[in-house]
Amino acid sequence: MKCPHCSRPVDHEAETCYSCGYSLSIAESMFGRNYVQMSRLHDAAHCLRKPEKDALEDILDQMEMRFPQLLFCIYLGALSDQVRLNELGFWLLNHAEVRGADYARPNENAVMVIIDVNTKQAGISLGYYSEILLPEDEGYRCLQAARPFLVNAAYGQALAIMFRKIGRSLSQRARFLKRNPSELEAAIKRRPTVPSVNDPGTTRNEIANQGVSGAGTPIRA
Amino acid sequence: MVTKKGEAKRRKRAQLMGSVFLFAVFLCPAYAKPELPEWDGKSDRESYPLGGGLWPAGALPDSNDSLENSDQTSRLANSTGAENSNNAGSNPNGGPPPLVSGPARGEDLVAVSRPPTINDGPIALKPVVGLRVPTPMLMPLRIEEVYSHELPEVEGNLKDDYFALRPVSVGGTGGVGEKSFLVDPQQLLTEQKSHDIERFLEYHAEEAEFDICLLLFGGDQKIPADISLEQKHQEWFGQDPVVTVAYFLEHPELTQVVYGQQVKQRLPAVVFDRIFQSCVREAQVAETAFDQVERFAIELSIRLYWMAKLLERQSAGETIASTQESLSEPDWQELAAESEGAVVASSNSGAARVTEKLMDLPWLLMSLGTGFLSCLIGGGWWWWRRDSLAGKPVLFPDLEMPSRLGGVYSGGGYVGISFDVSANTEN
Repeated sequence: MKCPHCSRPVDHEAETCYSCGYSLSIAESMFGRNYVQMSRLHDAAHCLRKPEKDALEDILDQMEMRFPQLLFCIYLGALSDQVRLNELGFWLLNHAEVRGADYARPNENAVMVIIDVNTKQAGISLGYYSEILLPEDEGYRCLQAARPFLVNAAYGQALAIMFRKIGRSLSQRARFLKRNPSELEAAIKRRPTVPSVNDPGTTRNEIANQGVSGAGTPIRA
Repeated sequence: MVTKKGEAKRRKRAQLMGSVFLFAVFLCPAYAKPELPEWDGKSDRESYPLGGGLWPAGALPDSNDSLENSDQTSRLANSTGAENSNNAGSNPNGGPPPLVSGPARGEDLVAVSRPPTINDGPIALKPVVGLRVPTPMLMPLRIEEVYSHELPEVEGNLKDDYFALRPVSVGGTGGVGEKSFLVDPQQLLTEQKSHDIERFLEYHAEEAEFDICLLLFGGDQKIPADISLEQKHQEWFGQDPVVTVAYFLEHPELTQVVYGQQVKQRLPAVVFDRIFQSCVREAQVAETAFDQVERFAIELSIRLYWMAKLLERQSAGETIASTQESLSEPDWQELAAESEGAVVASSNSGAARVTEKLMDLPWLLMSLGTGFLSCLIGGGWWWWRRDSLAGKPVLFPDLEMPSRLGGVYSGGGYVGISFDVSANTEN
């Protein structure tokens, strides 16, 4: 897990990024403190046609049938250069309410695909629960599968491919967890932990340098 | 102008219709009334028993002769051939066909038909008189009647026909001068049956080792005393593999079969007895004398085939049984050898042999191949299906996750790429 702002590794219980001090409050200062509503397929950029929307709705239905605990949503926007997708995703998952989503699918179980047609970036924002189920490498594979269609601006097709790949990855993950029930707990335990900041003789810089991520990157001023 | 043209058209149409009418008037009688010969005399059909009113003047009998003719016809129906010829001479004019009152003969035709005479005038239609068809054969002839008459003794020319020349040219090429395998100079058999038997004997000669030369005699006839079939066989065929058969019609039990000295010496007599008995038994099953000949020949052909096999076995050093009982016994040695082989085979590698035999079956291979293919396709489908979105719902275990960076639902977990080709950068 990385900081949405500086992409540095972040402790799983850190209130702020040890590198840049980024937190939800900074995101709220940028995007707003209010809660917003978005649809499951939110095409703010208006780049999907009706048949593509229908097909994507079908796929989302199938995904929800297949994974009754997870929430799948799409945000397509034409954002400015100052807006970073990971920050937007971080803020959206904490401030947006997906219309029609049932109570059993909280935002922490969300898999949100965000595409910025302006900066030509695509990403998958994950809630706390879903980031355990969909590792980073699997998510990257899903995005890569859709990349040729994204390049050709075939967003509907790209999203369809992407969700099919996500569904396949989640199925495989579920099968793996079924065979190895202890793997989930082990994955949780493997998460990076931050050394106690109250330890004497440990400066902030040292903590940052000893970061469990091993990045050893200097703290930004 | 218009009136003149219309009038001219009307006139032309009237002329055309007139010509068509005249043509029809002249032609129709020709078709309606064909030219027929004019008949004279009585037209009263009751005057004649058959064909009343249809007989031309030249062929009509006088009214006074009608009774006489009716007597003649009745006599014709019952008369023999000689009488018929006499009657034909006495009644040159002929008459209406006689009533069929009894069994008819082919000879009736000669007696009834009137030969053409010079005295008949040009008006007399002789061929019409000849149309008097002989009385039909209402019942098929009984076979016994064909040869029931006494046949002559086999002597003189008839004897020469049978025995003067060698009847069969063994290994011949079927030339013009060659005789056939069936010797029937008296033509005792019908043409069809004779042809059938002859073709069968030729076929047998082509296929089998021993040929059959069949001499056909009447049931009451006898082979002349000075003729010995054994000698004739030796004279005709020598060492050739031919069997000479003297068959007496209706009496298959009197048949004489000559095999030749060489064959006789090699095999025990009981073998020939069995052949003869089976042939006679087979012939006696048939109802008619002609079928008896055919069945006899067929059975003899079969038995000669097995006799040839027997000779082969003897040539190989095997001892041929010399009594009826031993001939009737099964070949225990062969049976024992077969059963021994079966036991060895079963005890040796039974499962392997069964498997080998099963694998030889094409249907088994085909079904195995089909099963393998279907398994392959089914496995692939299952592999593809298990991860598809249409599968069963997947449930994950519930977990309590701590929050980070102040987010209630998400801690900023994100993976992304850039699809800007110009920048070619990925996050």
